[in-house]
Amino acid sequence: MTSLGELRLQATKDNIRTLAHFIQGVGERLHLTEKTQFDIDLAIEEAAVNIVSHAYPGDMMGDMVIRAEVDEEMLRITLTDWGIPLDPKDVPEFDRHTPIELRIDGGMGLHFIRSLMDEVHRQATPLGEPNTLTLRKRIERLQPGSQIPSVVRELNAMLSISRILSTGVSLDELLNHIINTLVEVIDAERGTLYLVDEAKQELFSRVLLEDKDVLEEIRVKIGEGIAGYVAETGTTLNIRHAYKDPRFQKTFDQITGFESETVLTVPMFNNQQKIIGVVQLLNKNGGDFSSRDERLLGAMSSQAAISIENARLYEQEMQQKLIEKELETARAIQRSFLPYVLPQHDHWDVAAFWQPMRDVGGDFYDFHMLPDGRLAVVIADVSGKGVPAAMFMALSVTVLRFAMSLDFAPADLLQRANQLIIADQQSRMFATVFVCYIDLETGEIQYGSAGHNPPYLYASQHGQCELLTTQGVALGVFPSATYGEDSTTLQQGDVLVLYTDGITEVIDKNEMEFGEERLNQLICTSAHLTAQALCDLIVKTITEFSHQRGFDDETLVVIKRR
Amino acid sequence: MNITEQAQGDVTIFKIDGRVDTAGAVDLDLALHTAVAEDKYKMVLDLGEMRYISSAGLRTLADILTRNQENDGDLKLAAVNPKILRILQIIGFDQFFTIYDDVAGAVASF
Repeated sequence: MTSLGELRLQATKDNIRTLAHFIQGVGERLHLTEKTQFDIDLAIEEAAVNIVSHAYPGDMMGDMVIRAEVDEEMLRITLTDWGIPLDPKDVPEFDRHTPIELRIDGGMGLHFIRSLMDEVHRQATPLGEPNTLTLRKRIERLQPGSQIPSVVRELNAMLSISRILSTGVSLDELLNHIINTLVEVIDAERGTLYLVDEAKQELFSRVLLEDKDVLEEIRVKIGEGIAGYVAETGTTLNIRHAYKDPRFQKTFDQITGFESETVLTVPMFNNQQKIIGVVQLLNKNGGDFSSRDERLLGAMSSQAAISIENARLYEQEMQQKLIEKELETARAIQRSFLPYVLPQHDHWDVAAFWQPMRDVGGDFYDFHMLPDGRLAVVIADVSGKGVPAAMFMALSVTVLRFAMSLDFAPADLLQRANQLIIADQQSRMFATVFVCYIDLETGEIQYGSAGHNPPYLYASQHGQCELLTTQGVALGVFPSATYGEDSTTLQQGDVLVLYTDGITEVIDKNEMEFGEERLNQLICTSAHLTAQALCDLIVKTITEFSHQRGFDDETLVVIKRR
Repeated sequence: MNITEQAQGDVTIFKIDGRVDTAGAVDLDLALHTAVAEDKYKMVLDLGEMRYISSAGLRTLADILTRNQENDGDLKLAAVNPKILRILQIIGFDQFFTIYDDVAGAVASF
């Protein structure tokens, strides 16, 4: 292997440029083809950025060394640093499914490098010892005599697009940066970056240079105009006289007051060779867009496509995380509305079960001590599921508790709660509610219902269940609604079972409902159990019965007088 | 789910077949509200073939009932099957909707 040189520098951002110059010099000596030079420059810049940012993060200082060697067909470049090693174990083969943060932090750079070079080998050692990155590339040399154009400026611009990803910018900022860079590098007057809207089969652009007053969203049908043509066919169009081309649409010039003359339009391909957008540059300074401009813009646009896709993925993932976080929070809030502790009393045995269908549900139950010492028990079922139902539930709980604290009897309570709920929300949801007040000394209960499934009262004396029914419509529907109420007494050994229809509407594989009859039977045969044991048994029975759980919120409250 | 509309004098009859689930409720909502926008406040729902109605569907019925009654009309229910009837009774809608055995009876009552 012949040594082509070695350079030792402090690992700073400015010195990345010096490294780039070194490698360009190496390339010129070897008469590399433009493509090879391009790839190597890109790989080295990525590697250097990794060292500056990650090997020596923050204020940490240190050196980096680049060494280049060549034999017949193989160029070997080694980069060495003495900083924090990027553990190869932490960065496996670039995986689309790796969380985007990992990708951005270290994986992206190495992925680029791997795709540009033929061999990449990284050796890491503990802090203080040298870390080495070895890159090998089979080189293609130009035929003697051909020109090697300078690509320094273009490459630095190109690389800045890939680098910007690691600073976690938003998609819009990224798009802005990309188009500004492309316009500058290719040396045009202005440019537009269009993205494909798959659903509508249109191109849209949110980025316009210069005239900040004219920052409109432009939409173009795929197939229409020059940009639409390029998006549809995937071919590059280099037009010298815009107004002479029948495909050119004058409307945008008319809006912006700009006069297009030369127009270069290239498709943006992602890694799967799918067209995700189009880049259009207008009016090359000092002449026409050359074929070199076409090639360069094409390459850079595809580079940009990758950045854009990653930024989109990043945004999607962030949004997904936000949604999950919200649901978690909503559930926690909702759970906090339910009583933490079930009432304890010598003569009363209380149990409850609450199972929302989606993370957040609309069913709830509540226990509340009334001013006169009675225990109020509420069970409710809010129409709908998920976060909206949970919020409606929170409102309903609050309203009911408030009204209960004002000493209203069940009928009055429900009437006022109904009016408050209607007054206070615009949603189309409603709630069915059953409420009862239990005198813990005498066992007398006073109850009312707003459209809720009548609870079962098992009378141990008769060995049978009766339904506690009263008249009343669900809350939140009809402002003029009035409610009935009734009362009865729980004797020793009696059991009260309150439930929501998620319990009785569980279905088996023949689409048969569990139903009220079965529940009735189950209670009658198991009323001797403790409240908790009965509650568990009911849940177990419907679980075994059912073919499909998770269909509706399920809530159960069992109260037994000992 | 299918909805068919028919006029008999100044009464509009909507026949609803199938399941009014959350998606179906949207269609039902649209159909009924369109009629309301055309000042058709006298409605009969033929529910003979309606097998199920979701809470969203119930909501729609309640809203249209209120609207119609505010305009001297009504929303009457006809041919309701026992299962649906029970739901309407439990939830208390039977106190607000008049329910008829058949469509003819409902139409005649206007």
